[in-house]
Amino acid sequence: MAVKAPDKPKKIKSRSRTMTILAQYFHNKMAVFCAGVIVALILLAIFAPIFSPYGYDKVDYTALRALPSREHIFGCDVSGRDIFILLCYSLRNALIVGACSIVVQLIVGLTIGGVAGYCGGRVDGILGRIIDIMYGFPTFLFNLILVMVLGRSLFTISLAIGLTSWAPMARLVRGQVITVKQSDYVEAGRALGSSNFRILFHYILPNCLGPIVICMCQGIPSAMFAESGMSLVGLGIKPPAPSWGGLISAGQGYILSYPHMILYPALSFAIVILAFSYVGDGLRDAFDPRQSK
Amino acid sequence: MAETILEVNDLHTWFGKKKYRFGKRKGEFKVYRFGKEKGQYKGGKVIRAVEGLSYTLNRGEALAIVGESGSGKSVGVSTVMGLTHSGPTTRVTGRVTFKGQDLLNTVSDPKEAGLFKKHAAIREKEFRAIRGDQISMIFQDPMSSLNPTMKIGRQIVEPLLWHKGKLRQEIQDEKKRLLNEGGKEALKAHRKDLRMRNFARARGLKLLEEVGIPSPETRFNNYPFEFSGGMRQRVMIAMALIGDPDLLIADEPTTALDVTVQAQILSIIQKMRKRKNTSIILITHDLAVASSFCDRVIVMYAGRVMEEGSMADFIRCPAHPYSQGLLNSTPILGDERARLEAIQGQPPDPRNLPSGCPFSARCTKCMELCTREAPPKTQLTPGHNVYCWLCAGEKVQEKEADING
Amino acid sequence: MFKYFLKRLGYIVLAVFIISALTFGLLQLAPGNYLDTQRILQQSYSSATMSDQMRAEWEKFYGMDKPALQRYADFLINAVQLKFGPSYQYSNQRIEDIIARTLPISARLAFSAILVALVIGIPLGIIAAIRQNKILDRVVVLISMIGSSVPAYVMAIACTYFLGLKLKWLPTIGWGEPKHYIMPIIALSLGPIGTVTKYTRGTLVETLNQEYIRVARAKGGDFIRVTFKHALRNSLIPLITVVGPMLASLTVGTVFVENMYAIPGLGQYYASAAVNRDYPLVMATTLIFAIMVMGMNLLVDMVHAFLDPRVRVSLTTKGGK
Repeated sequence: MAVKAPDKPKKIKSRSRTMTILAQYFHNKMAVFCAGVIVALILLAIFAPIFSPYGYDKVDYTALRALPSREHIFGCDVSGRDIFILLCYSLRNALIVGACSIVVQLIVGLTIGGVAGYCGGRVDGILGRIIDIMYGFPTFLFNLILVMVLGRSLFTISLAIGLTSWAPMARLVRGQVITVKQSDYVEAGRALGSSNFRILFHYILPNCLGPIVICMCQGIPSAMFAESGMSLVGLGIKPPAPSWGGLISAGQGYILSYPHMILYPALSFAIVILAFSYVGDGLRDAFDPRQSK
Repeated sequence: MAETILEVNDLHTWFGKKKYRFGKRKGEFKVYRFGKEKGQYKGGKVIRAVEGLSYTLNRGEALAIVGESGSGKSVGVSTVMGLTHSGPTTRVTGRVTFKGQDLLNTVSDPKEAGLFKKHAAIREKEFRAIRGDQISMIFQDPMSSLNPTMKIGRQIVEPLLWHKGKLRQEIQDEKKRLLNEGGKEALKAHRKDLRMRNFARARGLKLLEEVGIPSPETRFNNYPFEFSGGMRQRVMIAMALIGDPDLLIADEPTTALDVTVQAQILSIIQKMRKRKNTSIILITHDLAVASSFCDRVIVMYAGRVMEEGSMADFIRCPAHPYSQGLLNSTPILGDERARLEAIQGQPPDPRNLPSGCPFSARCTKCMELCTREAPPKTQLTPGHNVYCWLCAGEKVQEKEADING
Repeated sequence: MFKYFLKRLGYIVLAVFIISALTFGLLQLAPGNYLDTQRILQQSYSSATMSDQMRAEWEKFYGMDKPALQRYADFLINAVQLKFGPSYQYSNQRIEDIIARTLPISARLAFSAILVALVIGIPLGIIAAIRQNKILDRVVVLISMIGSSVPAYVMAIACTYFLGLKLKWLPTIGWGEPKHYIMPIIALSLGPIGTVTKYTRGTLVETLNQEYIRVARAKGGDFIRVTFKHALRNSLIPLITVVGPMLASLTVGTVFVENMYAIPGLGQYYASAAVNRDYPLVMATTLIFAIMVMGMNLLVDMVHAFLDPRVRVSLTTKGGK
């Protein structure tokens, strides 16, 4: 009867946090699918206009309001421009607007929220009130006003959208900073002698990254929506530069006779926003530390 | 005269992750698949939370179930309560008898699986009649166990109001008593009190007082966040005992509380037990708590029973190496040792249980045989059983002969 | 509690003040003014241009000859009395009349949409949460995703196309009879339905996983009691916080829907005012919208505090957020 010594404990494999989040994300099939759709769309937006023979600024008199055919997949609009290519251009514009406005939101929201959360006290009181007021803002109305003032280029539109919708980001960042600031590990870090700078970048920022990414992902569709809304009203990107809202409003008048002029833009718009929503939701679930059932 | 209240026989609870595709019949695990080994179960790894748990509990007795986190003690009792039942990702087998009534309807014959659903429906309704009324449970974390947006008074009274039959019976008894004592005038005078809600409320107030909450009248209408942790746990106890249950299950009631409050809570439970002769199952990982008032103890590890016996026997001579390790690692006041003796290693992954004795990896006295086969039950003294090859005596020699010869 | 209400009210006043100042300032900076835009637009049709004298008279009529600050002060004084003066485009109507006429319509539309959203969305969300991960749940989730992502005007277009033109069940434009209400409300409420459903389902699922639900089951609670009395109550409370922002987005949605269905509501006037640089109208409408949105948010917060005792405590004691 030999006595056996207990085995040495096996080495535990660990995963970095990013990998865990990605793995969790990949469980959600719909979200992965939509992420793929978005990547495809981005590629389309970049390359389709380059390789296509149709442009957006020339009138083709032979194909006015043409129905969908082999040459024009989605048909043509009033001026004979291929709708598919127009959609690709509008996608490009929309993505640019989305990305730029997100950047603006990030800059403003991160700064204000971060400062408010980190400083606390009076500064937080004032900034917090400002954030609350911005939350109740009629953002769309202000978008219109800002565009009126600043002009109608892509840049100014994204600036306008970013400047009016940074409130959710700021509130999120502020909340996260406050939570992290009060947590034990920050206190531990401080006890070990980290400088303020280090605390900010090493402890607080990485923990805010999750909600920030989610907010960004949800901000892109709303920015696209706002931009298209402005075009619909008439204050969007200057024609003949194509824009989704413009396409939809132009096609409105032909809804009975040439439905393709409104059908494809509206449908594609809905699909793009849907895809972004699914991705945003998927990200939110992936960042959730609780294991889903 | 010891009357057996609860009898648990060979209880197994397994969890899997199988999801059913559209079209397949929804319901329990395909029972017949389970008879085979892990590898053939398509859904992935199976978590064997409870393996072969058996015990009996008499009226008025207090049983302690002791074990580390993940040893299956909580799952064991939630299966007894019916909170964990057979379903698409869970399989429960074994027999649980409460006051003579069979609580689990488990199917070992696959052909009966079709009937299972109908059986399950009946069982759930009967279970609900029992839960809260005859068996009640106290949970571990009083912070999250109370509904934060509901006044605690209402939460305490709910078990009474949800078992209306019993409540009506009690009101009838009260009516009779009043009639006998004071005649019809007394009945009329107390008419308001005999309405269900008021009756229940009065009962709730009485219980609040018994568990030691000051000014129960005001506290009755407070919200959970207005209580401290110890008070909340007392509210939980009041909630559990308001129905005069025959069996009280306390799942780590003191783990979330500090030591002074711990003693108070335990004394309350003890007091209520003495008063109504309630049986108690106390789940804990703290042997000190367990030994303070339990008569018997079961030690669980990785879902299996390692040792069971009366508390006195257990403390005096623990037979299993795990039990010895547990007792040794309890710090004692006045102890002059420089280091606490801890048991080396970690509990095993419930998905990858090793064959043989689950404790073999950490056991200092492990033998070759231990890693191969699960140890049998050995009775040391009547009532004191241990599952260890070290104590198995001749059986070990038999096994060795089997292997060599 | 009352003090908190007053405090919030004070903030609203302050915010409205700031918004009005900002808007006014921005509008002053805006390039192009009404007269020039009209002149350019009209140029293709007539060669008539405004003489300088006509222009001066026009400006005097609208008080533009006074310096900016004074104009602002005048505006504020008038605004408090709810007198906004005549609009540029419709010089025969005073703005407050326009608002009085159109605001009830828009408000009616928006509130009906929210009501519909709640009445349909909450039960849908409950069903989805109960049958989690089964077929019904997946379908409901899909619908809610589509509803909450697709913008209002796309919905409006789809509705118009299918219900109005193809099936000819409902009239596409017009206003006055109940049947004119149906399609705009459908279009407007599909978004909120999606949001409400998604949110209800989410919070209910989360609540059902809480420990106290288990406790309630251990007390012998049956399915209906546990779900409705315990779980639902706690999960509907966060829903209230979503209703506020939903209202804000509805104000945007009404602009499009009114545009589409030719409904004489405030949104339509706002859109055309913005395009045509009708500054007085823009100022007035912005203020009205801002007040409405912030007032609704305040109301929502009050209801939230009323329902959730924890919020009540955190609001009344010092410390707050």
